[in-house]
Amino acid sequence: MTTAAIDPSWAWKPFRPSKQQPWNRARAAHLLRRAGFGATSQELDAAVEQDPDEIVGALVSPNLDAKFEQESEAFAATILASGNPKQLSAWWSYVMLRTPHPLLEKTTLFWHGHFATSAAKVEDSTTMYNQNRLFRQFALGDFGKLTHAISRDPAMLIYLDSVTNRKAHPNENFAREVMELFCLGEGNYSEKDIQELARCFTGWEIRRGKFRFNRFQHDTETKSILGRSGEMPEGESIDIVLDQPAAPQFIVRKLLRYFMFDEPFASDELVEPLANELREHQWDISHVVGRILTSQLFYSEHVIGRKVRSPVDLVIGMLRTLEGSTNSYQLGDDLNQLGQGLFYPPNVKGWDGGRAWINSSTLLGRANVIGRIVRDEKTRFGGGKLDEYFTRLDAESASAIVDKLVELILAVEPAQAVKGQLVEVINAEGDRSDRIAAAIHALSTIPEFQIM
Amino acid sequence: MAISRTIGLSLLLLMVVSSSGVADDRTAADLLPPSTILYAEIPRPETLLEVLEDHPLRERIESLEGVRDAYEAKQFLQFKAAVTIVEAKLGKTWQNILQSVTEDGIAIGFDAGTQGAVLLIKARDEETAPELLDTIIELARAAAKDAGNSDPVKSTEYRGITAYQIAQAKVATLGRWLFVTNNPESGKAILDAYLDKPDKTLANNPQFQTARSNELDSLTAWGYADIEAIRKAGVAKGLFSGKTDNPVVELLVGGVLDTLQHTPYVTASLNLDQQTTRLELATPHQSEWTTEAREYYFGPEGTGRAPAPIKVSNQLLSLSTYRDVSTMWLRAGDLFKDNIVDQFAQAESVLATLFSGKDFGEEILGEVHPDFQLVVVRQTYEDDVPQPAIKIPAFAAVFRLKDPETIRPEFRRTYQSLIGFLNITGSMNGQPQLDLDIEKEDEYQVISATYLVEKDASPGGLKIHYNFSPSIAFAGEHFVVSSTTALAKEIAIAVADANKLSTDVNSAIDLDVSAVSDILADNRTQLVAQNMLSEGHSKEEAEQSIGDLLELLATAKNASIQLEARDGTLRASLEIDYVAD
Repeated sequence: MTTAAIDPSWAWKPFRPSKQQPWNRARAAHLLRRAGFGATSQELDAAVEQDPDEIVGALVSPNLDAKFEQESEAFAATILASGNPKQLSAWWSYVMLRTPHPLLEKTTLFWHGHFATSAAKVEDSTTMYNQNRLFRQFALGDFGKLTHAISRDPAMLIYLDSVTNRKAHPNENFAREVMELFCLGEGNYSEKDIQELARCFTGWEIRRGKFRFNRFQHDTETKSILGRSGEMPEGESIDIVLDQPAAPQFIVRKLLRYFMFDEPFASDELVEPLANELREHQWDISHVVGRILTSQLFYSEHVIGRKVRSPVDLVIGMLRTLEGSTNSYQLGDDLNQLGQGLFYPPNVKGWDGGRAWINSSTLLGRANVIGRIVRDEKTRFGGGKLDEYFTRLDAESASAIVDKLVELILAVEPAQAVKGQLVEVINAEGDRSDRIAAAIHALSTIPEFQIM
Repeated sequence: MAISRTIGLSLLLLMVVSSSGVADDRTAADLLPPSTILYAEIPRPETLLEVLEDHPLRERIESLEGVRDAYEAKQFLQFKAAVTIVEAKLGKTWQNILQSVTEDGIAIGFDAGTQGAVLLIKARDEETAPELLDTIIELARAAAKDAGNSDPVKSTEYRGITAYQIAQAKVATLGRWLFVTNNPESGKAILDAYLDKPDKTLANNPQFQTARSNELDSLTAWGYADIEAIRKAGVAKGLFSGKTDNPVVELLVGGVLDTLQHTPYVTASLNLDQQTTRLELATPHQSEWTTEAREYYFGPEGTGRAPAPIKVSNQLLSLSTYRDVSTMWLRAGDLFKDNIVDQFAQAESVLATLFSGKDFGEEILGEVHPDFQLVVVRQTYEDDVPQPAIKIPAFAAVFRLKDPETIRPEFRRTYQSLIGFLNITGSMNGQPQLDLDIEKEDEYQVISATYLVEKDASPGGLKIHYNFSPSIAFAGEHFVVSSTTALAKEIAIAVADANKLSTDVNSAIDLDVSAVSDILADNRTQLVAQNMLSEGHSKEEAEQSIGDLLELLATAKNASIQLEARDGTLRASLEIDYVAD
């Protein structure tokens, strides 16, 4: 099944609020959910006063908060001193919860899944962190430059068993993934292209955790890749791969799946206009992401509520929308338990995403994690307890609290009966914060909580 | 409901805090049954209140963020409101009420016969306690009425005395006594004792009389546990089994476990003033109670004494103890379960390889005297030298060799082999390498290994490895194994100069709290980062938490723990000295 029924010329027209489709809290929440990890009530108040294009403009070209960036770097350096890669999961969970640039962080996560590398194999926390910085640096930048940089990235080469690559025995792992998983996708290259590309990477080595070009082991003979021949010195081969028409289509399709819908599979017709724009804008990812987030399609029924929440969207999203803070070590473990361990993707393909996030055991696990977090004594909402938090939001009655939860967390309105049950949970005997926590836990079990 | 809880709370608070009058000289022990197995008393609560009022810790604790938050919490505000009402009703300040209600002591006991806990408070006169109780009951009833709840206070008569039940607590006043219990049978036993003045009470129990301190009036608090009864009741079987499956715990408290298997009772004495807190646990002890397998702990006939502690600069902690580790190693089969003994055997095998086939327990540990010391110091760093990001204290173990001339080459060779082995495994894992060096002086010799600093190491951010420069040192009969060269050398010089003195205790631990504070301050950035991750705090909140911790530590100066077995008594004492304001 594809999106063939969707007219691309309609789809990619800019969304303009109208009487039928007003710019309201629900649409603002949808945007901030997809372009980040959800919005607080206060952020929604501000968003509805702005133009959607203006919001997206600020998201795709973030004016980086120097203080936050500096503190984040210093924070990471401190974490790295322990030498334990597991602490990085906690660090990134913390950053996602507090970043003033949610789209940048969400796109960094996208590249982490795209150029999947696991600390389970790399083992060195500094090497993993440096790769993470690389993703953040190019997250909304030039994909071509990112691909060139990742081809020399120690974490990637260690992960793909490419720390040595001699001309006598070219290592095909990285070359294969460049074609299959990073740039073109299956069916757009031959085995011979992989073998030839692998020859271009000979002499590329990792020594003591750093990239080194060993000219004595580099194959200087003529290579023939994807219809072009030559010696192909340093990096030129990657440009040849990126020049393939399939390359921008491959990347745009992945971005559509990440920011728009898990299913159906985006048709070539739908992908083509944005792929062309990506090429025209010299691989500028911010342009394409901006086009996606400001499109008519993005605010249509084809997109709203059509993505299964990843564990990060589920957990970080719930906490961010309710201004939550908690034990990040536990949060890192929770994400791992739900199948999205940060810095620990399952294999080189990254996370499958979509329906793969949900099965009978993960569904229960997802609700249990939400229940644990909201009841954890270290979890605070707006710096305090849940009842105080909702009082601050002027949501005093049980039904007002339920309405607020639905507005902030859910993309799709649940049945009235479900809301009624949640009101009963909050009105039951006991500590009010505990009862609100129980209501959030109950909310996390319904199908609407799983999608966004 | 919340007000009822608050009133319950204030009652409990009363129980923890302080009156005289009429001619009733009986103590709480005269009212408790002889089957009381746990007993504690504060003979002069007024003195305790005064100490707490002016204690240097108080201001620091009250300034802590968590405590400030607690003072602003709804429950505390409700409690304060209740206190204000009580003050108005009785026409006294809360401080005065506490003083008069608790003036002649507070005691708590647990009776094995009735399985109930009883709190006894002796007031200054016969009026204050009933007045306070009546006020609290009145408050509880008013609060329940306001909330539309039924009467939370139930009353019952026993031998003409009215007792009340508020929540789970049963409360009554008897002359100058106010008592609270969780068990009606325990309550009846107290009432019977008060009215009948029986011959058999806890106070008349010969064991309790032996245990009871003669200096009770000079103590802040005193406690007693009938260990024999507890042991027979089968409570905490693990504690009285005489065994532990943890070699470190065995080394620390193995000998005490033997004593606990035989001793009839344990007492605890607490002394608290503005400068010092001293807690002493004491129990009868006979050297025959120590099993043959544990002779390593107290020494033959219990004569083992710890050596005089070594003093070096920036000292954080010193532990000096008598322990015949060789005998302990060889007796492992008698001391531990099979799985632990298997681990000893495996370790023996590895260590035999390292020590050229020698038997580790007999030929290596057997070469050291049955005492050793541990020294931990804060490391200092030169400003212009790269520093590790996480700064760990340096530590060293100090042994005395029986035949230094013979064993010294053996230890030196083994050390060199170990460093070579570490370099090979380190290079396989991309770890920095160790560079060997020897420093010889007339009175000592230091053999050291230092990590080579990597060319591209960033200043202030070196790996954790750079806290270590594993070294050994020989000075006379002393053998030092240290985590750093500087500490090895400093100890070697200190022991070479020191007189060979021993203490009169089995073990002594000294902790310089200000050094702990300094080490935490050295690692403040790390602690803040960890706090942010583990507590979910913002940087500002984490800075505040760590600042509070350092502030709290700044109130204490030193802490020491001593263990001694002398004159038929085994004593463990903890003393904390505070910094005067």
